[in-house]
Amino acid sequence: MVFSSVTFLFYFLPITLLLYFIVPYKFKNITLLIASLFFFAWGAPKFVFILIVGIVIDFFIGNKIFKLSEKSIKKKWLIASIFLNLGLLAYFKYANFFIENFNDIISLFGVSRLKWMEIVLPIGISFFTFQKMSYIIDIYKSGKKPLKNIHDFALYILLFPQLIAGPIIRYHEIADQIIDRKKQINLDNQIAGFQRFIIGLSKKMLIANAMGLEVDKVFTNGFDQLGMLSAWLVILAYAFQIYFDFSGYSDMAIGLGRMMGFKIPENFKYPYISTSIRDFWKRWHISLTTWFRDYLFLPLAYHYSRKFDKPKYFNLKADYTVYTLVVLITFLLTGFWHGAAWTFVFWGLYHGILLAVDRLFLYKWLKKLPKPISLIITLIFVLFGWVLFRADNFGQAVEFSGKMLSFSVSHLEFSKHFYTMFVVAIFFSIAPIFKKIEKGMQRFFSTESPWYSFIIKHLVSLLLLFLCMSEIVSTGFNPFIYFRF
Amino acid sequence: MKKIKLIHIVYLAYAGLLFLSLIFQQQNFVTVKQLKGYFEKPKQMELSWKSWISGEYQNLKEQNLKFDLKTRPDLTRVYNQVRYSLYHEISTQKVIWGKNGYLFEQAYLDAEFGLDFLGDSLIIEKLEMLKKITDTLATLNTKFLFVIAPGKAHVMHDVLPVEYDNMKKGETNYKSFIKYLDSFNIPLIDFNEYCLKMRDTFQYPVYPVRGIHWSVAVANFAMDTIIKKIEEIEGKDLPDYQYTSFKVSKKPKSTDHDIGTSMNLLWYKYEEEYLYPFVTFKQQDKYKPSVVFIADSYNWPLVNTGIQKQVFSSNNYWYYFKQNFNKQETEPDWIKEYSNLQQEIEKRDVIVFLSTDANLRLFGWDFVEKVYDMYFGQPIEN
Repeated sequence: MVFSSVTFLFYFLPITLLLYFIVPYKFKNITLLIASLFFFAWGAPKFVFILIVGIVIDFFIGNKIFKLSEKSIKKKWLIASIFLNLGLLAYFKYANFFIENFNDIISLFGVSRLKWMEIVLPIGISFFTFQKMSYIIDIYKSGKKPLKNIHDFALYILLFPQLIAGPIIRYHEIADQIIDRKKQINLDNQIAGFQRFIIGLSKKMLIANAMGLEVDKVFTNGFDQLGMLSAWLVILAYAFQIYFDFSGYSDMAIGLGRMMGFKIPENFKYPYISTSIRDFWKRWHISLTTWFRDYLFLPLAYHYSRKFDKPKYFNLKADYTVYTLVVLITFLLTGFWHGAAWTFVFWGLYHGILLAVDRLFLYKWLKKLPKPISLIITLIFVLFGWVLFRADNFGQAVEFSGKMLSFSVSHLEFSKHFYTMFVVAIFFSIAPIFKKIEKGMQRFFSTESPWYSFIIKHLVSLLLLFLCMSEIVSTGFNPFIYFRF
Repeated sequence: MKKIKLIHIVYLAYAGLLFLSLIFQQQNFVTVKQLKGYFEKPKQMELSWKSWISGEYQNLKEQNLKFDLKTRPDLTRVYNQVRYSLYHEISTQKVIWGKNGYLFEQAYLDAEFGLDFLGDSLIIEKLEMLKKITDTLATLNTKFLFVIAPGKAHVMHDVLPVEYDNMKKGETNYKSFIKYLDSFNIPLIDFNEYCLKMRDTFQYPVYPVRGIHWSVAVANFAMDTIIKKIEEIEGKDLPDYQYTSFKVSKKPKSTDHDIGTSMNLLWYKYEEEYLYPFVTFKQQDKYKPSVVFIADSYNWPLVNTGIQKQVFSSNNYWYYFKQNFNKQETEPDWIKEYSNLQQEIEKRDVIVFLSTDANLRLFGWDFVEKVYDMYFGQPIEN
């Protein structure tokens, strides 16, 4: 079940919210849990039992770790949980990839390919796996108290607003809210939450989908007609598609959470106004980068900084060598997390290299330039990365990148709808660059705005919701004039 | 104080919009104006363990929930109107913009430029078979008339889509059929030429901007021409009728707006004036032939004139030689259900085969093959 579906928007959401607000406070968590289980079972019916078993096991391990005093045994339980979670992730998400690559290699030596039935990927597995690991690691590392009841822990993992597309909520960010959020369930939060949900839905339905339509056409039909300008236009469109789609989902999750009294952390902060690559990674998919930073990068950096005890390696300072090694590993895995394909791995590696270069000299160099220039340069780096991310294979990525640098003329035409939403996308991606606009937007959306702003913003929200509903219901409705045999 | 009240109103507005469809779904007192055009209802699936686990149930349920949503027609009209007004986009399949606001269906453009050409040898082969059939039927006193209904792209050739301005025309089915029908001496009415000439003199649309068929007015005049031809073929005088009045309307009716109707918009801008003739029939004791129209949708405007029903003793409409319209109660809904198709054909005085140029690529819709097989695959009784 996706948020932009009739089942969710016209049936599941109103019924769930109605039940949630009607039931007494002590039953709200269980109501939400049942709704979330139904939500997951609807979209991934085969995997709901595996997920429930995984939740039970991790709940047990969390309690075990918390109660134990001996660190070495605690560590064994931690490793067991990580092994189990990553094992499941590896099996469901990456087994097909590994088998396919293994078969490609052995077939080069004339060995017949292994027969393998492709595994279906459960929705949201990358997100809830990381959340489960965050729970166990937070209990182990910082001694955070585990949740008392298994149904509260299940709610933390299964909470439907963020179940399939994040943000990845760390246990320490939400633990207290699961137990007590009575004061947060109020009219202001419900209205602000719903408005945030509508903004997210509009980003996805009105902007991302419009971009995606043309981008998909180009990538499906091949690049023969593509010239240099249209290649840049298409990759920018893809940049907007992925940003508005992903941040739209995050907005919807944050909005829904707020309606129910949860404060879900922000996941995007206008990444396309970044003036450096490190700045970009502080603004893009923040929940994932902080997860990797805290649970992989920092522990690895600590570990290798003790191993690399000489002052210099390869003529570079030891701390830089450690940083480079660890950032490459982290981003290689970040890329791999996004998808089981070599293009994602290369995308991650590409950003790892950029960050290493950023640390070496790029950041200092960009800082000396006027902000618009450093913004454009950063954006160019990001766009080339998106080529890798979007391409079906490495060859396609190289071909498309070639078009971006080709000076050839295009014969492609795009629709008025595409151009209109493209301009809208530009505005909403970079508006905060202009301080006046940013302040204006903050004032407009604040709860202390004057009554006329209050009316206008909610009228706009209602209109956007209406447009999104009409789009959800009508997309794909293309009748014939008459029936013809 | 103001803000507290406002917040409650806003809350109710959001809740209202969210729950509107759910509430509307449960009621039966407001009639929903359904969407127009042809589209199929999604399949249904019973809920079972297997259908749930495979995800098939959920997929079809989503489609069915969408299809059955009572607010869907109005929401769809809003969506279509926004896309049409802002971006000039049309939701109807295979319809594209020509110049000056004219809409065309892709099939007519393909036909006009010969992109669907069957080839002379196939056309000759089919017409040879048809000739044998018509000659055989003539011996049984059943006459045959071939009517080529006009094609919008042929008649409105000056307002075709811009992308066709420099496209070269190839051999077309229409030109080949005209040539060979003449050489096979099969009675023919060519409404493409008729409508082209009419454009110069007729002050009302021959083809409406948002109609896929000839205008209602032209259909009336075409019906006149068909009747005169039948009189000529039969050598008999058919019942008379006359046009007693004409109404001019800025709002199109019936098939004059069939593309427009299928676009499912909230409102339309009407720029043309349409002529609607009104016919009266005299009570006459004149010969009324039994006629069957084996035709595509161009026969609908002819049926809607009301003339066929008055002038013919029966006027079955074998739609694409598949569905049976204007039938008696005892007759089947589908042609294939006739127990004795040969008898049904032979009892007619006239068979009118009617096809627009865009449908010549599907020539016969199996009629020629089936009837040829009927007569020449087995002995005929006189």
